[in-house]
Amino acid sequence: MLPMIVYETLSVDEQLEDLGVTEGRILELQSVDERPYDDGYFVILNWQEATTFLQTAIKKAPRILTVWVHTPKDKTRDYRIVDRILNRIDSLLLGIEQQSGSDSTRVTCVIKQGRSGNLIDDGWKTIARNATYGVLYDEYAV
Amino acid sequence: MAKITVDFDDSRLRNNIKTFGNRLNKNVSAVMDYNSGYATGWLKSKAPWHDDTGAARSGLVAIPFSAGSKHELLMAYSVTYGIWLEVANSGQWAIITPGMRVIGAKIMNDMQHLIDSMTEGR
Repeated sequence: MLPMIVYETLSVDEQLEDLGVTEGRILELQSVDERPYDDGYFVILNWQEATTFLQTAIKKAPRILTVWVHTPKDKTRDYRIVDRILNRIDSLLLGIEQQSGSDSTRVTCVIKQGRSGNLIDDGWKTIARNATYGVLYDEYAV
Repeated sequence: MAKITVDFDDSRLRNNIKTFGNRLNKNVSAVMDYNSGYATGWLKSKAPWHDDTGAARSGLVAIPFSAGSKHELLMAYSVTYGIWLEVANSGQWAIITPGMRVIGAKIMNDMQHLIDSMTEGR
């Protein structure tokens, strides 16, 4: 179960739209086989593991979310728009605190864990960067 | 008038404190050695791709380095296209990057238990 608040926060944001990231350009990695767009910018959400090794009072761990921003590398090699999109996503995701989306899954908070360097995705032939977050929510409660 | 005498032998305490640094270092090395084996198995078993030649999966390794009080665990591919697997298609086949997070958390967990167990004199 993924917390819908994350997708819903990103998909209605006007600043992301102004940067070319409209609702249909935010996709989950597992729903994509080939590069989804041949121009403009698109965002890929990759929901990964939640690791609970440490003996803590709270028996749950943040789930790792990697957010990729891509644009075809034959159109541009300029990462500045990619960075601006990542910055906007940063402020949107880090602002989610004790909020629920249409699925009623509540996100406690989102923690920033770092960004990649400037990458070339040779599979999709794009320039790309990613940012990693820890999303603390209780997927067992729904 | 009562008189109480306490005869306290602190030689064991002194010795434990004196040798703590070396014992900790030795035990951390052991934790890293153990986790190199754990990590190698984890990487090979969790790599998300379907094998063609099997070279990429079989070449995944985790190697511990301990020099003085510095300890490292190197996780790597043995095939030249390993970086492609980490980055291509939004990291669809990445294994080292999630491995760093998972194995890193496990090592920190082991360290916590190590410190706990060393208070028992080990």
